Amino acid sequence: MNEFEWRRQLRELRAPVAPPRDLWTGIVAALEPAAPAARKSPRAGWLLAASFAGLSLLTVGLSLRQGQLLDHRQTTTTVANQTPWKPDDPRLAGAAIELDAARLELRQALEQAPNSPALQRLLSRTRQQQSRLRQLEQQAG
Amino acid sequence: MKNVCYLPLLLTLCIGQALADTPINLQHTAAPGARISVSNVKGQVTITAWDRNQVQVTGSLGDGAAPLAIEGDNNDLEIKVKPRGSSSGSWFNWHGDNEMGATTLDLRVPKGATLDVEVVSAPLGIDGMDGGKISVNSVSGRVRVNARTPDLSVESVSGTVQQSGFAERADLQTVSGDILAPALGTIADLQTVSGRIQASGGPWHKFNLSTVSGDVQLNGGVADHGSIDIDSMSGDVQLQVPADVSAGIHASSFSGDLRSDFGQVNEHDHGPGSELNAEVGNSSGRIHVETFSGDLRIRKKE
Repeated sequence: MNEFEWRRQLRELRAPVAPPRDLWTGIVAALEPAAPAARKSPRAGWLLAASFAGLSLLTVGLSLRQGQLLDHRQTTTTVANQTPWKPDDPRLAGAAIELDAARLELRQALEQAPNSPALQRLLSRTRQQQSRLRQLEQQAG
Repeated sequence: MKNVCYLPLLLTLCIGQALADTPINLQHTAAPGARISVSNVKGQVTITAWDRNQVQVTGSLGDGAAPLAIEGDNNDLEIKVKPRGSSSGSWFNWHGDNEMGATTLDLRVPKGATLDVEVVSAPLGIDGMDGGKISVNSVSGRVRVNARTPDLSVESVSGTVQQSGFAERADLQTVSGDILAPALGTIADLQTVSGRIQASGGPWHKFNLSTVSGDVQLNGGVADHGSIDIDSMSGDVQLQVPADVSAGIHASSFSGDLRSDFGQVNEHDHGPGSELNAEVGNSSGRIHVETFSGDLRIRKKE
């Protein structure tokens, strides 16, 4: 495994993770018994306000996470949709896969170094190679 | 006695093979600088220069191929292997390829001729040409060119490209095939996605190289007011230049290891990355190398 692959795997670990189960039931259950007890306490109003504030923060946080998760899914879907072309001829199919992978890696690299002219040029040349491969497939008859 | 039982089968196969591969023996006069176009899908193509103003084609025609002919006039000749009954205008019809056997073409051509060769999986060898332009399109066949040419252009998908002799101007391109070019002239453009590149020559007036993940070993200098530009994503790059090189060297790597015998490599204070800016000699040329994660070495050739 080279350094680039290692870094890519690290980036994948950074992706948002959805909770494995619904947390709301537990949160509500924890808040409800506290309410009657709070009436007996002189700090009931403050506790209730703090609870609502915490709940609001949690809701906003989860919404943001959900949004990120959706964005990530959309990006993945977009990338997947951009690679439908697969030539029938095995002599071209391998190269098509290789070019798709190269393009994907270049885009990931560009996320880290968006101002790199070299990566932009490489991406452009990879696209040109893909166009040439498509022309070859057309010439194949 | 058992072996005798196989005799009819062997005989049938031999007869079948003899019928399948039709011998080729064609000749045509040609101008010394004639343009000669050759295409073959599978089998083999060998082109050898000679001192006659004549094109000779020998070899064997694969089963299912249309009868071969040398078409055109003395200045522009065409030798194309096509499937029998093909009406397709494309130079190689891969549907036809499935119906055709392998064809071997051995050509003798005037050494100053211009060549335009198109092959799919057939390996190609070109030897002894001197003075004419050479253009090759290949898919998976290995391409070997030993020639002195003012202009060499090779586009291959997965086949290895091997150059020798001398190419004043070279444009070599592959997806995954290796590029081995030890005798490049003053202008070169080498491009690959994952193939390995080994190249030498120069001093270069204009040299461009790009690789996504293939490793590069380059040996050569830059001419006065010339330039060397190298782009790599994850491929390692080793550039060896003469000790008396005169150039401004600018190199950078986002996360690869950068080392140089010229100048001082600066590591970025914040975040990854390193770069080198060195003025060597009177800086009449320019060398620019950039990698993303590939290691970069700039060595002095003693």
